Amino acid sequence: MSTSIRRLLGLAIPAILVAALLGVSQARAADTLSIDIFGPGQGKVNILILPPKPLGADPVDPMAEEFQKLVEANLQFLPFFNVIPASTILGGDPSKGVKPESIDFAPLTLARVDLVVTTGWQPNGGVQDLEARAIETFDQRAILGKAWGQIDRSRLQEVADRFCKLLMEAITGKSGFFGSQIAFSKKTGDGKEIFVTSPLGRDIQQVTKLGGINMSPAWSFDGRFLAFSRVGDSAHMLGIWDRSSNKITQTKFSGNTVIAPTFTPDGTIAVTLALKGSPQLYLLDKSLRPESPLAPSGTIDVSASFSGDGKRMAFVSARAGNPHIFILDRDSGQVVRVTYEGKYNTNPQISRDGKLVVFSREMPGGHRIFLSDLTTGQEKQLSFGPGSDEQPCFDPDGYFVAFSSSRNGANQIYVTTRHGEEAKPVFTGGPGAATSPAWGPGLSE
Amino acid sequence: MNTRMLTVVVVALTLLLLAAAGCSKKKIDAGQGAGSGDSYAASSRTGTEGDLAGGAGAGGSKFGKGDDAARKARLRDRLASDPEFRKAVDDITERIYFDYDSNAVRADAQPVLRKKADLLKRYADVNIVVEGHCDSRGTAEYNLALGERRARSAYEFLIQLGVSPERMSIVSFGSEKPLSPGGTEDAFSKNRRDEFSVDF
Repeated sequence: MSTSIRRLLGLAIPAILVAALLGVSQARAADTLSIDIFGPGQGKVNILILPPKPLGADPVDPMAEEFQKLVEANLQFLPFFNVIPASTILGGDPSKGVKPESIDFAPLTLARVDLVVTTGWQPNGGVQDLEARAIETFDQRAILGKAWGQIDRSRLQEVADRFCKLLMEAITGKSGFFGSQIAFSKKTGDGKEIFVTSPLGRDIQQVTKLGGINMSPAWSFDGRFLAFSRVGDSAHMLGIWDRSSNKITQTKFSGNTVIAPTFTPDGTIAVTLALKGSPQLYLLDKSLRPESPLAPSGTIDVSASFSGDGKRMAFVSARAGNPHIFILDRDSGQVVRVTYEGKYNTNPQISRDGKLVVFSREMPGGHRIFLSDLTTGQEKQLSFGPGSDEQPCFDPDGYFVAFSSSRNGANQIYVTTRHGEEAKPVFTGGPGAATSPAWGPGLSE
Repeated sequence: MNTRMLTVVVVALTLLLLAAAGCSKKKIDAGQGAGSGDSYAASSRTGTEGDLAGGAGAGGSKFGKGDDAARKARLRDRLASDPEFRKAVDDITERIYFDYDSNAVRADAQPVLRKKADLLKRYADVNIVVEGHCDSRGTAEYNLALGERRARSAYEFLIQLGVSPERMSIVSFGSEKPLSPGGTEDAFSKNRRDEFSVDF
């Protein structure tokens, strides 16, 4: 459990006195506003944040405006929301309170607003109590209502994140984005170290201080372990960070080569080793001893990732001459080639449902991110540079795609979606090229 | 009395840790040593490192022998006092270069490797590390594998010429340590290389 979550729970459990739904209808009833963010034609919800209102006789605290800005900033990361400015509403603020009966919906429907957010504030002994709602304009009812007690400025960001998480869940049925963690490799001096951040750039933590080049982090499916390659002066090591204990162990292998470790859903590690003359993928046993190779080719096999049922493994192989993407069906042992276009396709990650693969393809001008539908064989280009876009990975829900790009100079981490929405940069803690994003779930709260 | 109390505490802690271990992924926890109870990582620390590093191949800790320090000290003394040996070390550490996305030893690299082999046979106490490098056009993980193949190409070439594999070790740096910065073909061609360092 992260420090921030502990702090939130510690304060929130006694404080959230009215943490129940505030007169909210069934959040995801069949006729409520919802979006299939995984569907082919993703719609957008026009959302408007109404001015904050007092819940009692006291005027609204300036903190309320800050909260609105934080929520709006979060919504910028969620491309299925289109934030409508309040200034575009004819006649000004159409609300007198925070509940549906206090809102004049006519000018809102005229402005094609689908959803409004209301916030009500009340002082409570030097801190603030907050009621936040999301209300549909079509049938004029709340689909989300939440109350937080005793908020001070230090908790404002956490509460804004929490509200946005609930809002995303109410609209899409998914909310893995919030609470998830992006691990990445960042240049520090002569080497690279592993860091972890939230996709919103909060709670940045330096995981390794090992020296050398620490790269290719990969999360276990439960988000507890992070495996990575450490390229030292005379050998590579397999590094494993246990997030629960904050301990790191390193293991060396015959051949000195350890490339891109990854986890199967049951916690086994697969990694490229050069035990017998060429870099091949091996599953490691419980004691981290290599078992027989996975889909051996005698050439280069690297960058494995597994579907959520563990049955499909995407990987790069040079077995066809140039590097291309392949899928191993682990039950049958059959290997299927995925990419035929281009001459350099690398960095695949298979979605948890095993239906999609994101990867990078070298194009004139640099690498670009592509999505391949394994069922239809269709490909879609998700990124367009400039510079080079590499190392894509899905978020735990399989909706967002993080990747590393040199579009603005030194490599940084960006987030787009499986639909190829405009990429947004992820704050990675200031200067230093950031590469190798790996997106994992948060530890369960 | 103290011993008994200690035993009780140890047993209680072990039970607690085992209970905690039961909350996470089965396979990971199954790998723990009895009583370590802490994590998967802890299991890797116990006993794997030495076992795995000792196998066949071009890696492993071949230079970790007891008399290795004395051998290295002799080599350093000789480097300081023997110009001919200095020249030999320069030749042994001369780089070789590769074509794009290739680990084939080029024709221009072959005489360079032959000279190294002759010198390594002449100076039998010199051990080397072969480092494989790539240009930055490819992607990091594939480059790390390609660098391994490049280092191994030179390693195997030298074995064919009679150099004992026990005297050589390989490591890949992929595109992580470019010799020449920049995005020109000239820079790329300088970065697609093997480096050879003498293990002093």
